Amino acid sequence: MLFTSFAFVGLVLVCLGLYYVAPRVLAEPEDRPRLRTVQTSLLVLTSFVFYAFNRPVLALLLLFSVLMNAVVAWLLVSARTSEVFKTRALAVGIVANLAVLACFKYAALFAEFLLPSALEGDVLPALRGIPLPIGISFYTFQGISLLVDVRRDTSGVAGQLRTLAAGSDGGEVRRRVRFLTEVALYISFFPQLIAGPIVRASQFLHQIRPRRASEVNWNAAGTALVGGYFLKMVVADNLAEHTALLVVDDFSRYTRVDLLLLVYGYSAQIFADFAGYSLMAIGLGRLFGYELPRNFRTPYNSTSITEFWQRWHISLSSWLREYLYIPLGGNRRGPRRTYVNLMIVMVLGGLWHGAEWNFAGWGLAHGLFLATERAVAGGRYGKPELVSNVARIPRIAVTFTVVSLLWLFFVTPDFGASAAFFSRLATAPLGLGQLGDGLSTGRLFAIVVFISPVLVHHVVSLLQDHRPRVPALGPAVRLGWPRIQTVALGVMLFLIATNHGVTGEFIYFEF
Amino acid sequence: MDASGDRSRQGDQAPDRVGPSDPVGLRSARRFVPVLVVFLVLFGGYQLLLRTVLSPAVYSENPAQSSLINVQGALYADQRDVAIVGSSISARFLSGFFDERGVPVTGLALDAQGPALGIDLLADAERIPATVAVEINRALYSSSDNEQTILDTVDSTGFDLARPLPGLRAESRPSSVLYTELKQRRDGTGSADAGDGLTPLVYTVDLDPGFDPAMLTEEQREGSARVREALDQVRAAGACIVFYIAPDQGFAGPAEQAFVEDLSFTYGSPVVDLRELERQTTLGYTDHIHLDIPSARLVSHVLADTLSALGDGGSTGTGGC
Repeated sequence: MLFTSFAFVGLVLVCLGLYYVAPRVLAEPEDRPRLRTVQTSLLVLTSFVFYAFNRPVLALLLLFSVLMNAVVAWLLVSARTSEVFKTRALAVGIVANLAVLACFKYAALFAEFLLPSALEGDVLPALRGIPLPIGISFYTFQGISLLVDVRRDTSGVAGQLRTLAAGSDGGEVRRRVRFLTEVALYISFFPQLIAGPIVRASQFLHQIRPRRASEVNWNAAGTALVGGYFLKMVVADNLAEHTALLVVDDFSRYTRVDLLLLVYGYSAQIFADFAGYSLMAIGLGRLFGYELPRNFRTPYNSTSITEFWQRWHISLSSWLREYLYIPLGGNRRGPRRTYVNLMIVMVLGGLWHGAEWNFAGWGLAHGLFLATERAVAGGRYGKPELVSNVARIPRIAVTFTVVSLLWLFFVTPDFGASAAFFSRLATAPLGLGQLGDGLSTGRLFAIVVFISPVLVHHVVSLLQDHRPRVPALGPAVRLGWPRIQTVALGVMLFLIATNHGVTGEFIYFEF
Repeated sequence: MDASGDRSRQGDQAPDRVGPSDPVGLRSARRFVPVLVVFLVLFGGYQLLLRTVLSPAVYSENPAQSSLINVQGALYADQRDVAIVGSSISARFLSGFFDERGVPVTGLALDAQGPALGIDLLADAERIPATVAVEINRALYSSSDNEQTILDTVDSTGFDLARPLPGLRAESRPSSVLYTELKQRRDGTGSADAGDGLTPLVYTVDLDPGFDPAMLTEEQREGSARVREALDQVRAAGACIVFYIAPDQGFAGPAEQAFVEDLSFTYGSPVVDLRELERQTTLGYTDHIHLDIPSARLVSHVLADTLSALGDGGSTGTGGC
């Protein structure tokens, strides 16, 4: 079910109504544990309906993930379990999560390596035919986060679950049900189930409590929803019509300007698509009283690749740092080991997006840039405040172009197509005075028009960040900002209604 | 990536940040009211502008929206007696150009499509017009991804909503309205009497041309079968079929020529070869296939006159419809 479909809007409205009204009927106002259970159960039920709407069989996989993680989490917080057993349970839980991912996402890739060539002809097509359940990469990572956070007792998660498991209120069965429902809500919470943000257990579980409509910041929810729907429906869906040329076209009739415009268009599209989804998820979470972590901080304002990864898909990069990079030793074991760790993390991060060598290549390229920046300047590339104003703009332009060109690995069908693009980029005429020969004027018009909201968003953010250094701008921006924001949101709403593209799936649904 | 977990503070000013002191409940909801007011003022004001100062879009920067303008124009309006079905080549033949010659048409020429989808959509609209003019230039191409997009859109709630609310239609999209304005300024709009005195080649094939499907590729065979199926629908509904070949700088080749001759023989329908006009005047193109606005207007006028003549009982000697 797409966030942009009328069916989804209907589901949310029904759930929202029941969420704030039904508990008043079903539970006494002062019966907070019961209110909590009713609301949590309602959200879990809605999440399963949302997930299984188009393919009901998927509910079984989600159910397996929930049950398996709940059982292991229960063992991890149980007072009757020994420390040795807990360590083993954690290992089994992590392996089980990864096994689900491996089975549905990487089976064909593994088979290419492991199977004798005689068997490949029969087995590989069957493995490649296994459909990828949407969102599996996201909720599997959340499952791992739950188990590790509980074992480490990050932010008191273990204590909280222990209270649920062994509290004094209600009987054993009721406590188990409540434990299961809350773990289920964490794994399956529908706003972020399909494409994140990847929420850590320590960020989410403590938020589960009874909610009333009077506690919700409706303005913040509406603001995030309007921003998210605008980015997806107006920017990304309109750009998608044109950047699709990167997938299906040969590049021989394009000039360099055409090619760069297509790539910049795709950069804006993937940002609008994914940041739009994340904002919608944040807005939807707020409707139900939950604050999901922010996933993007104007990533194309980065002055280096290192900084880019502090601003792009933050929930994934921080997950990889927390649960992979640091356990591998991070930067504590000398420069060489740091570079190796960076490469491992980025290649695996690339493969997380899909079981294709394209994605591994994309991760490898980013890893190389990260390692090079670290080798050249230590940690300084991750500290944008050290960049002078004079150097900032050219460095942003260079970083944006590098990031944009690397997105090619995402969008072109294989390495050959990426190579053909780069070859054409190197040899094609510049394109000044030839615009329109390759890309039609309609496409040029559309790419320029629909890139502009992303550009404005980044420029405004850049100006705000450096407001103190432009004294004349400070008061004007400060006084005018709420009004500007109100008008901007009104315009976005108007464009959502009148200027949306043909609704397409979210790019990150494929991952 | 840094084990110390340093975080950039830049970009923190985006509007989705929530602070602990922000109002909640009804007070926070009230803060959102001005946004809705701005939206309503803009929406209402824009509708007013569209009815007074601006003209609805007839072109779009977006191929899917361009098709949607035609589909909505065709399916929301009362159906007319003549339908034009074909590809983006004929999508330039606006119904307004035909109106200038007194031949009101339902335009269902769609980007990246052959004529079959247009015919299917007409059939879904419950009544097939008395005359269906079928563009042959891209008739041999089987369906594209665009087809499913169009069908999904026609089946969507948004499509139903746009029927009573013109402000939600593709022709009202601000970017398409702007694009139409810019395109018309760049290309010009041609003259109302364009096409006067020009005549296409019109003929009917009476002898079996001996069409050999083996000359077609697999894709073309699929495309031709789809077109024949759609044409059978048209014929079963009792409509008259006219085939035409639009000027396209050589895009339609021997396969299309052989195909249209076979269709003409099979259905006893006239063929209007508008490529003949290239011998009589100079036509302008925006790229190597699609006519610019003045030439599209000219060709539309000639096609309208020809359809009108065919309907009048065959003044061109083809026997009419």
